[in-house]
This record gives sequence, structure tokens and C-alpha cells, in this order.
Amino acid sequence: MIYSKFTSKIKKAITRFSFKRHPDTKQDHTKENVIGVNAYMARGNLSLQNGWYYTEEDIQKLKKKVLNYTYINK
Amino acid sequence: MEQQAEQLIEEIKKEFNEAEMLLKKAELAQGGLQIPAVNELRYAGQHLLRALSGTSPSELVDADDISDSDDYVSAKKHCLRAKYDAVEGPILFFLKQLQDFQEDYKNEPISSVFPDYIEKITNAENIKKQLANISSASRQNYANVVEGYFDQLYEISSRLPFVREELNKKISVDEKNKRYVIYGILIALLGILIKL
Repeated sequence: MIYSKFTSKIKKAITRFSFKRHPDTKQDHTKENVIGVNAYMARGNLSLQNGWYYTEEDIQKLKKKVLNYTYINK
Repeated sequence: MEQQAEQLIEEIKKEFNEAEMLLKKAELAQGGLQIPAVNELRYAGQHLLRALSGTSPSELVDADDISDSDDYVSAKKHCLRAKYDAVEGPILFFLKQLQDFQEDYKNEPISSVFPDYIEKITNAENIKKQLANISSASRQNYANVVEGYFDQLYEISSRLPFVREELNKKISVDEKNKRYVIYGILIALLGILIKL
């Protein structure tokens, strides 16, 4: 208990003088934001509220992967 | 004329209900809602409203490419498209599962655990070819056909986890036997070396 308090105080002292990292602006949070908005607006459908849905874009991506594959090698 | 409209409304009602049922079935099978199918049902609703209220086309926004002078016919076509779109996603998902399964066990004798594997794979290949030939503009004509594909692939996909389990057991038994053979050879060599 005393040890953890001591180490947490040392950590605070060190981090006070460390350079703050800039937030990672390169990450695209669009999809997460869209899922968040859908979850807020959706009423009744659990799949929409949990972000479990497939858009036209998702289906076209999957279609490309699947239709280019051959199950039977000639 | 009214009788014709009533008949069309009955047909639209039937197709709409079937599309909703397929949408739910697909949602449970794949674990997610198919948004394109929901949009098609929205367009069907728009056409139906237009037909019932007699509103001119410019007052309602519609992004579809089905152009028919009769809004009832357009509504029915959108319901058929919704049926197609509802099962297209899960069909592709099942085909992908089969693809992953084939990649994972390409060096294993799958037929020993899954007797009609070759027949099912040939079936999947044919379904894939049929899907590739269906154009986006004519998908309302294939709504009932793809429902059959969904049922066939769902049956195969539901067996895959059990087949994987059995194949994994076989692989671990084979690995164990290989190790015993190697240990046996090493012990024999050690015995020869000691004798020398």
C-alpha cells in the first residue's frame, strides 16, 4: 500500500516534466463516429445499436475477395 | 382499375413481408443487418406512398434506377430487390467461410471427416459463378433463386465448426504418432552408438 503510493508519486513527478504527446490526428475515426451516431439514433434494433450492420461498401469489398477465389483448382 | 391496384397492393404486401422475414433470417445468420436491403424497402415505401397519394415524382426524392410509370410495379420491384440484397451479404459471408476453411485444411484429407465435401464445394463454386453473372440492375429477377443459395450455403456453413473440430483432433493424433516415430528412431540410434 505504502509502496504503491510512493511509486505513484514518483510517476506523477516524472510525468509532470515529460513532453506531452500530441493527439494522433492521422487516425480516421469516421466509422466509429458513424456507429456512435447510429447507436444514439437507433430505436429497437439491437444490431444497429451495437454497430453490427453491413453497408453497400462492406458487401462490395467482400464480393471482390470471394468472386476472385476459385474453390476448384484446374 | 381499382381491382388491379388492390391486387398489386396484395402482391407488394406479400413481397414486403417476405423481404422482412429474409432480412431477419440474414441478420441472425450473419450477425448483422443488411443496410442495402433496408434502403430498398424504404424506396418501396416511397413508391407506394406516391401511388396511394397521387403525388408527382418531383416531390419525393428517390435515388433508385427502376423507372416504371406504375409506382405499384416499382414498389414491387424494390421489394424483390430487398429480398435479393437481404441474402447477398450472408451468401458472400458463407462463401468466405468456406474459402478460409479450404485454405486452413488444404493439406488434410477433408473427405474422411466431411463425406460429401467435394459435392458441396462444387455447389459453392457454381453458386459463386451464378452470383458473378447477376448484374446489379437485374437483381430483382433473381430474388427467389438466391434464397435457395442461402439455404444451401447456410447448411454447409453450420457444419464447418464441427468438421474443423474433428480435423483438428485428427491432426493432433497424427502429430503425436510422428513424434513417437522420431523418438523411436532417436532411441534406436542412441542404442547403436552406445553399443559401438
